[in-house]
Amino acid sequence: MARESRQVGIEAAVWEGVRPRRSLMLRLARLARTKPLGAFGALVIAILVIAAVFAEPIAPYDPNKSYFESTLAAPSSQFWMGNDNLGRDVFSRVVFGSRISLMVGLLSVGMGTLHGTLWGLISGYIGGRFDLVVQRVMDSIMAIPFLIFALTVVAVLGPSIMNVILALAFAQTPRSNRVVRGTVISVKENQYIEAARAVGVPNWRIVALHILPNVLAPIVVIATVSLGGAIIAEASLSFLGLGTPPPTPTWGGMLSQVGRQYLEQAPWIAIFPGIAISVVVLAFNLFGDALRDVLDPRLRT
Amino acid sequence: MRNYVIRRIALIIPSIIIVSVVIFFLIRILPGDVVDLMMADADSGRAGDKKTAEALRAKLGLDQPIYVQYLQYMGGLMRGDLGVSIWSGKPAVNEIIKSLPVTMELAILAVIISISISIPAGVISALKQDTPTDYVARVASIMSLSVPGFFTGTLIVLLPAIWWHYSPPIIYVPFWEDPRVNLQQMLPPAFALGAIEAGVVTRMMRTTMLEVLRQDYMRTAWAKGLRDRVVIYRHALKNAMIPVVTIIGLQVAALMGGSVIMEQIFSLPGLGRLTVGSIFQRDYGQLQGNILFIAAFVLMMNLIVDIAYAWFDPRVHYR
Repeated sequence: MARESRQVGIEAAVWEGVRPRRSLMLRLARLARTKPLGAFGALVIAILVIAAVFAEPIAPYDPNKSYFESTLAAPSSQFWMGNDNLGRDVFSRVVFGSRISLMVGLLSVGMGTLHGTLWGLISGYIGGRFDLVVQRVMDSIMAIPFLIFALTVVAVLGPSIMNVILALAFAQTPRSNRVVRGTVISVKENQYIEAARAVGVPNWRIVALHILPNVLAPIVVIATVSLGGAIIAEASLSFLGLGTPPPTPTWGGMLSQVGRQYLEQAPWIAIFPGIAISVVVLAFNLFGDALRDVLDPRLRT
Repeated sequence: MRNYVIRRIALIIPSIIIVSVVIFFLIRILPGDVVDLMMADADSGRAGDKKTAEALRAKLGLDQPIYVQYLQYMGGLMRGDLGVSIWSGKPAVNEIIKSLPVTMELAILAVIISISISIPAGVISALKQDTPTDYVARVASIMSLSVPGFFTGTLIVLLPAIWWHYSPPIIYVPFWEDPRVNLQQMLPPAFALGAIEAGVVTRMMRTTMLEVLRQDYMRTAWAKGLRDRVVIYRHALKNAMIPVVTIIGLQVAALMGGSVIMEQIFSLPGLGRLTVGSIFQRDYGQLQGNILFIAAFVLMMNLIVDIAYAWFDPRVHYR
């Protein structure tokens, strides 16, 4: 019992020594002042989240309802972004499309990051032959281009929102894994890890309490930056006809067959969702960049 | 150095085997198989004919247990056989070789376009750090990363069509038949693809240039009164280029992915279009041949980059 408490005491002392001085919230607050572009990104992301959550009250029309009298009509005061070939309101479809983009982006990156982090922690900490095997598998998955890999997974599982999420999460895994593993390997050489091991702290506790906190910053950064990529990939899948099946409005889907078929006649069908994707991805990239500068200067590229 | 190269080459083999396993089993989780699809497609009258279906399965080797199928496939690979297109019955390699030049040309043009934009942009941006020029270059590069390739591609098709009623020749013409027509078809998609890569490379170029500019030997070079051009080209750029070359090499995978989209938009008969086509037709043979080929290509490129890195930069420790 005495030994137990002494062990916890030493561990806590070691732990205090490495805790970053400023809290995460304070650092985020500073972000807004010092990084205007990052703050702009955060603002757009906030608008996206609001649009996705409150799509019903925001969208003036039902995204799937046809107004045949205004089929292919140009943008007007009544229909802000015009109408598509079935007379549906493009603006409402863009608003509802934010839902799919955000949901697929968050869930796929979240799942992929979680999965990648887990393997990265384990394989980086254990090292040796196990690490070698895990890294070979990750390298191999990385060798298949992201989009082609996701396409194949969706083709195998069939096009549905859930399968798109799974495909992108799977493709995301090695990217998070690499970053986490690299950090773990450098962190585990620190003396406080050795100290923790010397006083008999079990491995899972070392990984969870002493290593994981050091990996959090790079994880947050890589996840934010990956979100933009995931949203583009989701849209690309829908664009190729292997994403979320119609009639669910998705930005990529609006730009695909129908959008391109009426490209010259009614360019607004394709242009507005295209702008929406671009602005949202830009926002995630800007925000991710600023976050990287603040949280983890080492990762700077 | 020699041992390092040998070891790296040896490490590629397990990677390729893992890719083949992942792809082989992934593709076979498919619910309906290709035979059902072929039967339904070929002739609706005979669609229910079980005997024909069985015969077809036997012919394609699909009646064997899955591990036997895999071993047969691996046996073929050892002899350089990438499998057979289930649809056409021809070796998958044939189609790959036919479509490879299109994708290669697209990728090479895209790299040339991206380098000729991004290297000057990155260098100028670094030299004029925190000026409006730098700001424009940084915003432009992050924007080019944010606009999806299919949107840029679509706009490149759309705008000239609306403004000048211009559209490039539709039927693909190989470069050696008519370079002028071929370039009319290839340059627009290459530009769309190159713009994305230019964003990545500009950012990298700027960062490494800034890092090099802060080195002591740079101060010495300025201090001994060398001309700007000599300092920038010989001392700074030469050193800053090493990581940039690496990034360009590592972008190969992204280029292959991007070409899938561009080939689709611009109707180019390349590897990407072949891959998407084989996905829609559930042509496992072709699909797995393509992916394995692409993955092996990417791994080889990464290897070349790594070796070049060790070769050019004496500071790199290779073991």
